[in-house]
Amino acid sequence: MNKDLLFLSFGLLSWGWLSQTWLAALGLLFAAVIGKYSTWRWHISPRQFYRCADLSALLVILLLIDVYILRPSSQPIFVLLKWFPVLFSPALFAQLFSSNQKLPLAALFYSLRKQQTEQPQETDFKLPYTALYNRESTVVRLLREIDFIQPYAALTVLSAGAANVQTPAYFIIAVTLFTGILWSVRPKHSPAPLWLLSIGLAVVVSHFGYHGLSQLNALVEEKSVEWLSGWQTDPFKSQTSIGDIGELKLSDKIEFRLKADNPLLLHQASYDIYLGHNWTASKSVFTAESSVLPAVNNELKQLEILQQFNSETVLALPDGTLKITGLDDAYLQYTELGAVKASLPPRFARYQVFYTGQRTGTSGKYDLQIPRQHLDWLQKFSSELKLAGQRPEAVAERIKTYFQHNFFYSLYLGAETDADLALREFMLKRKAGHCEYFAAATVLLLRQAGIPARLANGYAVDEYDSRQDLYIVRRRHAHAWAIAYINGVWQAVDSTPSQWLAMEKEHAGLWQPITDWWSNCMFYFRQWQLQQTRQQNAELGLLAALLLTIYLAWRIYSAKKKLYRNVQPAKITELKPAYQGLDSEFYLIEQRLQNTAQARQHNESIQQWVKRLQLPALNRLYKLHYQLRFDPMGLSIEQRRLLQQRVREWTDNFQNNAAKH
Amino acid sequence: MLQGFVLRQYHKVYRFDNWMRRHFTFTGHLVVAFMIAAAVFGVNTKQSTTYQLFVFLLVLLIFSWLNSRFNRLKVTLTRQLPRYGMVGEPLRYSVMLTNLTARTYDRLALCEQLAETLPSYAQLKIFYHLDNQQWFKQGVSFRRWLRYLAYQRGGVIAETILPDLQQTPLQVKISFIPTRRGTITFTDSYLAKPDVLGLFRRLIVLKTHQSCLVLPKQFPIKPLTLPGKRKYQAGGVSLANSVGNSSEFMSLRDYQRGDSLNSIHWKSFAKHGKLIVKEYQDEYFVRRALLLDTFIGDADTEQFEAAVSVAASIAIDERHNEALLDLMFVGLQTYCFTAGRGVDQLLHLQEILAAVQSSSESSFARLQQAVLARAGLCSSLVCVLMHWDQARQDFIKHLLAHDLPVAVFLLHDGSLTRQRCINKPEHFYLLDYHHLAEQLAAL
Repeated sequence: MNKDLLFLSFGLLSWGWLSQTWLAALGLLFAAVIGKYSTWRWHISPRQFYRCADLSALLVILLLIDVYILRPSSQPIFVLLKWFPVLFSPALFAQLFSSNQKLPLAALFYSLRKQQTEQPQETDFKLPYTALYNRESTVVRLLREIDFIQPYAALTVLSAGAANVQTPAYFIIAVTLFTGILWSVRPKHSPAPLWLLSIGLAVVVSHFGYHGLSQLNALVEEKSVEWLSGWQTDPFKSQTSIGDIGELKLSDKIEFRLKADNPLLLHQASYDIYLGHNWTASKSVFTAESSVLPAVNNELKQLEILQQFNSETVLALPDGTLKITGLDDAYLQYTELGAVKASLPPRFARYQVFYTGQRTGTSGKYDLQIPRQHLDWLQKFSSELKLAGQRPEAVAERIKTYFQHNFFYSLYLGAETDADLALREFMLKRKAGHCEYFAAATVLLLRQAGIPARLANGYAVDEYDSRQDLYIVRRRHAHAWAIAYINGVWQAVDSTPSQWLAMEKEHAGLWQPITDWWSNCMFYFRQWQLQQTRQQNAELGLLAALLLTIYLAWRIYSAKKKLYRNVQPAKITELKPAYQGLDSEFYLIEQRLQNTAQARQHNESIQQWVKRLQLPALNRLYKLHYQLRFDPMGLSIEQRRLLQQRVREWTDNFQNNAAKH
Repeated sequence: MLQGFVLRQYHKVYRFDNWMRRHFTFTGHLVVAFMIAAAVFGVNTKQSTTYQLFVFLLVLLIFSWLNSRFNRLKVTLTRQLPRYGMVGEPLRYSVMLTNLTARTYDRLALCEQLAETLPSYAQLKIFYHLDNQQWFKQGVSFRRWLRYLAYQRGGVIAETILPDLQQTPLQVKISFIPTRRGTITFTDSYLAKPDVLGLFRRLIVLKTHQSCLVLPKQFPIKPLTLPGKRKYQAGGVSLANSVGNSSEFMSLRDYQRGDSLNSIHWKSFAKHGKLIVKEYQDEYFVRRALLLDTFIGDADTEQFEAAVSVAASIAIDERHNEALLDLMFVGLQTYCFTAGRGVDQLLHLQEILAAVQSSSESSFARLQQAVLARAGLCSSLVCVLMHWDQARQDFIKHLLAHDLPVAVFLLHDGSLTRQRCINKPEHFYLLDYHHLAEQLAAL
C-alpha cells in the first residue's frame, strides 16, 4: 500500500472514530483513494489552486458565522477544529487530481501569492533593486510546491483532539502517525537504532509530560479563577474589591436589556458569612425546588428580560420572583439564599418574570454574626447613631441616611491591601468608597443593632433607552447592597450615595458609542432571529447558499476572463524581444509556394524573391513583414491586422486558383 | 531615536526569521507549526486533547536539537568565482566540497551568504528620498528595510540541496542574479546537516571569504556616427603605441628644458657629450570623451543606475573604433580615465563604472571646467545627463560654440517629451529609464 494513502487513511479513520464523524471521514477517504488510484488528472494552474484554497477560507468563514452568530455554540473554536479535515479538503483534492501532484505553497499563504504577482513580467531593465530582488526572493522559496498529503494527515490528528476523548487513545494515534511520517523522511545517515531510541525516549518523556501538564493546567485554572472572577457572580462565594488598591473600573459592555415600569434592583445572590476579602454563602447547594413561597395577597408585577445566555447563567431577578416564562428549555436551580441558575444551550432568550417585590424567607444563624476585629468601631457608630432600642425600620433608615449624608462615593480603591483594615479606614478616616464598602459596613451595623442582615449582589437598573423603550444593564451597573430581615421580609437597605450611577457614567469609555452600536446591531438581529420559525430559518439558509453559489460562479467566471485578458498580451511581449516576427503570417505564403516553380531559393532574400515573382500583391506585404521582423518598434495593431487579413486573402485566392487548375 | 529603535527591532525579526529558516528542515517547520497549533487549541487541557500532541512534538524538537549538538561531519569548501559578473545576468560559479569523514551524508544543503551591513536611517532616507515624502510616509517599513538590505547585499543565493556527500569531492554549480553593480563579497557559507530525526539542522560554518566584481548592465547600442576630425595629441605615439599611426622618427635636436627623459638619445650623448633628444612626427587621431553626469539631485536612484548603464553600453561599443576614450565624472573629486588604442583596456573602464557613485553636490561647474580644459584634445563628446536644466543647456551651448560635435543622452522618468526640451543639440536622445533596452535598440 502506498505510504501516503496509509497516512491519510490512518489519520482520517482515527478522526472519524474519535470525533464520531464516520460519514465525513469515509467520504473523504473514498475520494482520496479515487484521487490516488484513478487515472483522472487535470492540469490545474496556480490560480486555480489558489481558488481551491480560497474555497477553504470561505468555508472557515461560513462555519465561523454559523457557530458565532446563527447557532451560537459554547465552544465555537473547537467546532472549527473538529471540521478542519473537511475545511482543508479542497486543497487536498486539488493536489490529488492535479497532473503535477503538488500543491503550490502560495495557495496556503496569501503573502507568497502577493510576491509572485510582483514578479516582473518583462525581462527588460527595470528597477534594478526592486524587480530583481522580488524575482530572486521568490526563487529562494525552495519549497514553492509541497506535497500536502502528509501535512493533511497530521491535520486530521490535530483535529481529532477536538473530540476531547481523555483516554490514551489520542496520544497513541498522534504518536503513531507522527512516528510514521518521521520514519518516511528520515535522513539516510541517521542509524535506525539511534532513531528508534530517540523516538522511544520522546514517547516516554512526553507521556509523563502531558500528565504533568494536565495537572499544572488544573492548578493554574484554579488560581486564575480566583484572580479573574472579580465581576462574575458566584453563588457560593463573592470576592469584593475591599482591600484592593488603585481604581475600580468595570466595562461598559451591555449585559442584558429589560422592559420594566420603573428602576429597580435585580438580585443575583446573597451572602451571609463575612471573611474579610470575601463573603460566602452558608447554604450554597442548588436544588430544583424554589424556596420562595407564593404570596397570595399581593398582586404580581411583571417584567421582561432580553439576554444572551451562556451554558450556565446566574439570573438577575427582582425580589420575590415567583414565576419565569419563556425559558422552557432551561433547567432552573435554586439555592436557599435566593440565587437562581439557568442551564440551557447558549442562545438569545426573551423571558418574562413575575414577582411580588418582597423577598420572603427565614433568617439563619450566620445573619447576626459580627467579626470581632470590627467590634470597636461598630459599637462606636452604634452609640453615635443611637441605634439601641429603635424599631428595625428606623434603624435601617437611620443607617442609610447617615451614610448618604456623611460619606462619599468614590471609585478610588485606596492604598490599604488588608480588607479588614481597609473597611476600618473607610469608616473612620476616608469616609469614601464604592458600593461594596457601603454594603459591608451596613450589614455589620445592622447586625450590631440585632437585625439579621446579608450582603446582596446584582444590578441596579437605571439607564433607560427611550428609542428601544428598554432599560439597559451594563457590566458597570453591577451593584452590592445590604438586605435586612425586617417583619418577616428581606428588605433592601441600599446605603450607597445615589450619585454613584452618575459617577460611573462619567467614567464610561470613549469607545462606548461604537460598542453600543455593535451590541444594538446584534440585539436587533437576535430579536429578528427569535421571531423566525424553524422553516423560515431553513428557507433563509437555502437562499444564502444560492446567493453564495451565484457569487462563486461569477467569481470563477470573472477570474477566468481576467486570466485570458492577462495572458494574451503577455505572450506577445514575451516573444517580441527574443524572436521578433517569427510568427509573421508572411511565412504562410512562403509555405504555400513551396515545391512549386515559384518557391524561394535558399540564397534569396525575401525582397529579391518578391521582385523575381513580379507579384504586385506581395510588394506591400513583404514590406510589412520586414517591418515586423526587423523594426524594433514592430507593427502597430492595425498594421498587424492588415498583414493577417491580406495574407489570408492571398492564400484563399491562391487555393481557389489552384483548385480551378 | 525612535527610528533607530525600530530598525533594531527589524534586525531582530530578520535574524529570528533567518534562524528559523536555516535551522529547521521542511518537516521541522511542519512540526513547529503543528506544535503551535496544538498549544493554541490545547491551552485548556479539559476542553481538548491536543495538548498531548503539543507535548510530544515539543519533546521531539528538544531531542532533535540536543541531537544536532553532536556532529562528526568535517567538510572543506573551495569556491571558483568568475572575474566579472553583470547586473541582471546569471553569475555562475562552482563550489567543490570534500568530505573528510568516512561516512556518506544525505539531505545536506549549502547556504551561500553574501556580506551585508545594516543600513542606518540616514542611508535609507537618502535611498528612498524620504525627505521629500509627507511626514507619515517618512518611516521605513520592514519591507523597505529588507529591500535595501537585499540591494546592498547584491543578490539572493538560493539554498542548494546537495546530492549524497560521499568520500569523493563533490562539485556543485550555483548561479544567482546580481542585483547591483560593484563588489559582491561572499562571507561564511553554511552546510546544513539534518539531525537523526530529520527536524533540526546543524549549521557547519565553512570560512571562505571571496569577492567578485559586478559590472553595470550593458545594452546593444547603435554605433554613433559623430562628425569630428582627428586632433593633435601631445603625448605622441607613446599615448597610442600599438595601433594606427606608428612611431615616425623625424630628427635629432638639442635638449631643451622640459623635454622628457625618455626621449634622450643616449648614444649621441655618449658621442657628443651633450644631451640630444629624438624628435618624432606629430600624432593626430580620434579621441572621444564620455561624460557621466553624477549629480543625482532629486532624481531616482534607478535613473542614475540607468545612466551608468548607458555610459557602460557606449564605452563597450567603443571597442570597434580605433580611438581613445576619456571617461569623465565627478565623485569625491573630478576623475578622468583614458582607455583605447592600447593605453588601457576598455574593460577597465567598465570596472570603474561598476564602482562609480552618485554625487550629492548640486554644482555642475566642476565637471564643466574639467571638460572645457580637455575640449581642445577631443574630437567629439558624448554626454550622459540626468537633468536638462539651464546650467546643462549653457554647457552644451558652450561646447557647440567650440565647434565640438556633441551627443546628449538624457535620462528621465517618463515625464519629459522632446517638445518640452529646449536648446537641443543635433544629436539629442531622450531615454525613459523604464524602457531603456527598447529605446537604446531603437536609436
